[in-house]
Amino acid sequence: MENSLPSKIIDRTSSSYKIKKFLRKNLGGWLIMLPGLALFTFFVWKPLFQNIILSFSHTMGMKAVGFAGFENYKSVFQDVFFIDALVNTFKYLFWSIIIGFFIPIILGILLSEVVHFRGFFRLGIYFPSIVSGMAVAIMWSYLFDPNPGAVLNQLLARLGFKYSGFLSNPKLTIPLIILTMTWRGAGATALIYLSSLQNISNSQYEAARIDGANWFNRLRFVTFPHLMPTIKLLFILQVISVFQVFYEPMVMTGGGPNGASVSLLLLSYNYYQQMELSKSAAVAVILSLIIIVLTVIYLRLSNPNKREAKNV
Amino acid sequence: MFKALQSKTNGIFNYSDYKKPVYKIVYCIILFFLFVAALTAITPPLWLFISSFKEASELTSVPYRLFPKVFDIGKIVSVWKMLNFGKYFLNSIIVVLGAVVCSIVFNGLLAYSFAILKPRGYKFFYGLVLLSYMIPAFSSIVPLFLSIVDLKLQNTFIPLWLMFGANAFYLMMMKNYFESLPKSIFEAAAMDKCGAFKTFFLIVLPLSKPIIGVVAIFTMTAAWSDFLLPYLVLQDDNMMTVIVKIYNLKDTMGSMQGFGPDKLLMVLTISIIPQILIFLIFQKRITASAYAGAVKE
Amino acid sequence: MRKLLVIILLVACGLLSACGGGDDRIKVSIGMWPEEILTKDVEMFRSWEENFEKDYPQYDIVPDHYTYSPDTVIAKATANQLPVVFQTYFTEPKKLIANGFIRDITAELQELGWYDKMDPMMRETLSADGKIYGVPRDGYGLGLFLNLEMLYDVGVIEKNSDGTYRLHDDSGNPLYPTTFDDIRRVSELIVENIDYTYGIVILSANKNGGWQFSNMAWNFGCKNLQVYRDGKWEANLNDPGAVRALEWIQTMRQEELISSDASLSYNDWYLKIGSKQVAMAFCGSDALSLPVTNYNFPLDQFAFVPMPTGDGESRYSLYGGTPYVFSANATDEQVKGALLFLKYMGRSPEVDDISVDAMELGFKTAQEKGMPILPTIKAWADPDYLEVANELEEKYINVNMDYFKDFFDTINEMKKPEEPNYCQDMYALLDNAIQSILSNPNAVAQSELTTANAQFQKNFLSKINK
Repeated sequence: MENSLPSKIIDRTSSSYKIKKFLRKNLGGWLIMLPGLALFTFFVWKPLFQNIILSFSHTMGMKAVGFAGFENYKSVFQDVFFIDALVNTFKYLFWSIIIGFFIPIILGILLSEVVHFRGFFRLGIYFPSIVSGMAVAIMWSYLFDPNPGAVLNQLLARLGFKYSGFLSNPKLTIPLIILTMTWRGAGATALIYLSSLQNISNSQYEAARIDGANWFNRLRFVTFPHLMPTIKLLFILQVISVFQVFYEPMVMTGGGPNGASVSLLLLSYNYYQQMELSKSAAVAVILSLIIIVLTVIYLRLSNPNKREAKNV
Repeated sequence: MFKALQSKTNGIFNYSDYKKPVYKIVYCIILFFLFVAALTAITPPLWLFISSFKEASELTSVPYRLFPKVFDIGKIVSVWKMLNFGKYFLNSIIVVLGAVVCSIVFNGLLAYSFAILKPRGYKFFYGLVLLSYMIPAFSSIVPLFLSIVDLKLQNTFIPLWLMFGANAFYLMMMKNYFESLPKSIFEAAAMDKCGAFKTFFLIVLPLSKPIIGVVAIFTMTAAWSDFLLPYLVLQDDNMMTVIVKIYNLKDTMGSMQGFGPDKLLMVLTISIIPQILIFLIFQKRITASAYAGAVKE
Repeated sequence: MRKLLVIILLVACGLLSACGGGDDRIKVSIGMWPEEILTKDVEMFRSWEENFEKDYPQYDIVPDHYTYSPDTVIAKATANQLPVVFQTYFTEPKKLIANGFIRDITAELQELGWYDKMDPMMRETLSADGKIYGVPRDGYGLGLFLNLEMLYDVGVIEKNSDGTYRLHDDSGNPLYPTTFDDIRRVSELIVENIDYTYGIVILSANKNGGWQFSNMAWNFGCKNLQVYRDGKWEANLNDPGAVRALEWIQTMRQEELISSDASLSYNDWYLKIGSKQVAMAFCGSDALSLPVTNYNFPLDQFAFVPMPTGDGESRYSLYGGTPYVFSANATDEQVKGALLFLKYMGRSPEVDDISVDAMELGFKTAQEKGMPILPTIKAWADPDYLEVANELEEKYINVNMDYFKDFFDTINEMKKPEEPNYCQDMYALLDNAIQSILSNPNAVAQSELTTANAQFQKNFLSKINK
C-alpha cells in the first residue's frame, strides 16, 4: 500500500509554508481591494491631505507657493462672513429640523394608513427628488421673484396679503431655502419611513388594542419605537447634509442679502471666486472637522457600545 | 369608497376603527393632506413647463396670466436647435453610463473584499472609507482638480466616471447585501478552486441583481445632476453636460444676445423632461429602491 | 510577407505623423470668437480670419469661444486651457496679474507702435509696474437709460409732430431727470400712474450694485472712495457723499419707488426695462443693445442720458471698458499673432484699408442683426484713427441721435475711472450695504458704510499698505 502515501510530503510547520499560506489567503483579497482603494486614494484621501496643506500655505492661482502657518485660519476667523456662515448654519439646522425633518415622518405615516390612490401619492411626492438640484434651485428662484408682478406675489395679493420680498427679506431667506430643499427631498425620505412602517407586524397593533390603547397611544408605543432607528439614522444624515448646503444659496441668493444666507461651503466657494484658494481650503478643513466631531458625538451618544457604532 | 377600508387589518387604524363615522372623517382628512402634498410636489414643475412657453415679456406681465398667449410647441425645437442641445444630452448620457459601470465594479470589488474576503488589515481601510463619508465632497475639489490636470485628464469624461467608483454610500449598501448572501456559495466556489476575482464576476454579481439595480439607479440620478466636478473639468463647450451648460447659460445670460430668461426656463424644462420620462417608465423600480437602501440598516 | 507588413506599418506611421504634426503654423486661439448660434457674427469672424491667414500664413486662427467669469478662469488657467487672447472685465486684470494668469505685452505693443496711441486713462488701468497687460476693446461710461414711452405717458417728456419724442424744452433744457431729486419725482409719477411698476432699477448684487453705487457716491459729492494719503491707501467708503447716496436709496425704498429685491445684478436691468417694470435704469453705454436683442425692445423707444447729479455740482460717469488680455502661457509669437488679428478685426489704431474694411464689416453685421448702432467711446486716442472711426460711425448710426447726443457730448468731461485697488471686492462690500438698506427698515446708512469701510481697509487695502 505504498500508493496511499502522497507523492509530496508537505511540512506544515515550516515558516515558508506559513508565509505562503498567509499570502495565498490574503493576496487575492489585497489585489481585489486595490482598484477600489486606488480610486478612494485619488478622489478622497489624497485631495483631503492636499487640502490641509493648501490651507496652511500661501497660494498663487491654484498652487501653493509658501508656508503660511495659521495665517489663513486667522484671517478666516476674523472675516465677518465666517461668523455669519457659522450662525447661519445653525439657523439652517433649526429650520431644517422644524420643516424638513418632521414632514417626511408625517407623510410616511399618512401614506402607510391609506389604501386608496397609493400609487399616485407615492409617485407624486417622490417626483421632486428626481429633478436635478440645480434645476430645482433655479426654478424656485424664479417662483420667489420679489417683484409685485410675479406669480406668487400676485397670488398673495388676490388672497389679500401684501406682496413679499421672499428671498430678499433676510428673515425669510433661510426658511425659504429650506422649504425648497424640503420640497425636493421630503418624498424620498417619506418613502424610506414608509418601508420601515410596512414592516410593523399587525400583531403589535392588535396587542396594543387589546391593552386598550387608543390611536394616540398606538402611535406612541408601537409606531414610533419601531421607527426610532430609522429616525436616528436619517437625523444624523440630514444634519450632515444641511451643514454642506451649497447649491441652493449659491444659485438662489448668492449668500445674501448681506450674508443672511451664506453657508460655510458657500463661503469657501466665494474665496475661490476671489482667487484666495488658501482660505477656501481652510474653510473646507474647518467644515470637515466640525462634521467629523458631530458625527462621532452622535454615534457615541446613540450607541454607547463602540463596536456597534462601526457597523453603521 | 369605504368598502376598501373594511378589509384593512394593519396600521394604526384598522377596519374596526373605521366602523365609527368619526374615523371615516379622519380618513378623509388624511387623504386630503396627502392630496395637498402631492399637488404641492407636482405644481411647481408644471408651472415651469407652462411658463417656459411664454415670451420673455410675458413672464412678469401685469396682471399675471397663467398661460402664455401663444402656446408654441415649436419653441422646444427652436431652443433645442439654437443651443444645439443634443450634444449636451449625449455628454450627460455618456457620463451616466460610465459612472454606473464604475460605481458597480469598483465599489463592488471593494465591498466584496470587505464583506467576504476580509484580507488582513481590511479593518483599517474600512475605517478610512467610513471616514470619507463624513468629508464634504466639495472640499476636496480644488486639489482633486489639480491632480486631474497633472494627469492631463482635464476636459475628458474619465475623472467623472471614476469618481463614482469611490463612493462610501454605495459601497456600504453593497457590503451589507453581500454579507447577507449565504456562505455556502463561497465555500462551494472555493472547493471548485474558483479564484476570488472569478467568484466575484461569475457568482456574486449575478446573485446581486437587486442591489445592483438600486446602486445603478442612485448613480444615474447622482451622475446626471452632478455639477461641481464636471463644471471644473469639462471646460470645452462640446464636452459639457446638461447641468453644467444650464449653469453656464444662467451665468452668462447678461452678455449673450438673443437669450433671455424665457429661453432659460425652456432649457430647464427640456432638461427635466427626460428625467420625468425615465421616472415614469421605471417608477416601480425607482420607488422600490428608495427604501431598499434603508432596509439593510 | 512579414517584411511587407513591416514596411506597410512604417509607411503608415510616417503618414500618420505627417498628418498629425505637419502643421507648423503658430496656433492663436481667439476667446472672443462668437458662439455658433450667432451665425452672422461667425460669418464676420470667418471673413476676418480668411483675410488674416492670407496675409500671414504662418498663423492658424483657432476659434475658442470663452465668456469670462471669475469661476472658470481659475480652472482654465490652471489647466492651461485659456485662449491666447480673451475678453474680460475692466476690473479683473490686476487680480489676474497677481495670480499669474495673464502676461504682459509691453514689448509687442511697442513693436507695433500701438502703445502710444492708446487712450491714456485706459492704458493706466491696464498697467502695473510700468508694464501693460491688455488692449482695450472700447470704453463705456455709466449713464441713465430711459423708457421713453413710459416717461411720455406720465407727462415728463413730450412728443414732436412726427411722433418722435422731445427730450428738451424750447430753451434747450432737458426735460428728462438730471438730478437724483428729479429721478425721485419722476419715479413717483411712474408708480402712481402705472400699475406694478417701480421708477428705477437699483442693482444690489453680484458686485454690480456696488459698481453703480460708486458712481452715485461720486455724484453726491464723494471725491474718491479710496484715498492715497501719506504713502498709504485709506478706505473712504463712509464719506458723507457716499452716505447721502445710500440714504437716497433708502428713501426711494421707503417710498416704494424701487424694488426691495436684494439680488438684482447686471443681468436684470434690461429685463426690468424690457418688461416695463421700471422706466429708468443705470447701465453702461456699451450694453444698450441688450434690451433690443434679448427683449425685442424697439430701437426708437429708448434714450441714454448722462448720470444725474446728487449735489448739483458733481457730475461723473464711471468709466471703464472691456479689455483683451493674453494668457500667461502664450508665447511671444502667439501674442504677436493675436495682436495682428485684432487689427484684422478692426480693433487696432491702424487706419489702413484692411482695418477700415474690418471696421465696416463690423458695422454692416450689426446693421443686419438689427442692433442699435451708437457712438462708442474709443479705446485709441490717435487723431487719425479717431477721424476715421467717427466718420464710419456717423455713416452707420441708426438711432435718433437726439436721444443720445447729451450723453456723448459730455462724456469726455464726465468720465472718471474706477477706483484703483481691489475694485471688485470693494463693490462686494458696497453690495452688502445696499442689501442691508433694502431689506432692513431699521438700517442706518452711516453705520452700514462705516462697517463696510472698516472691512475694506482691514481685509484689502492693508495688503498693499504693507
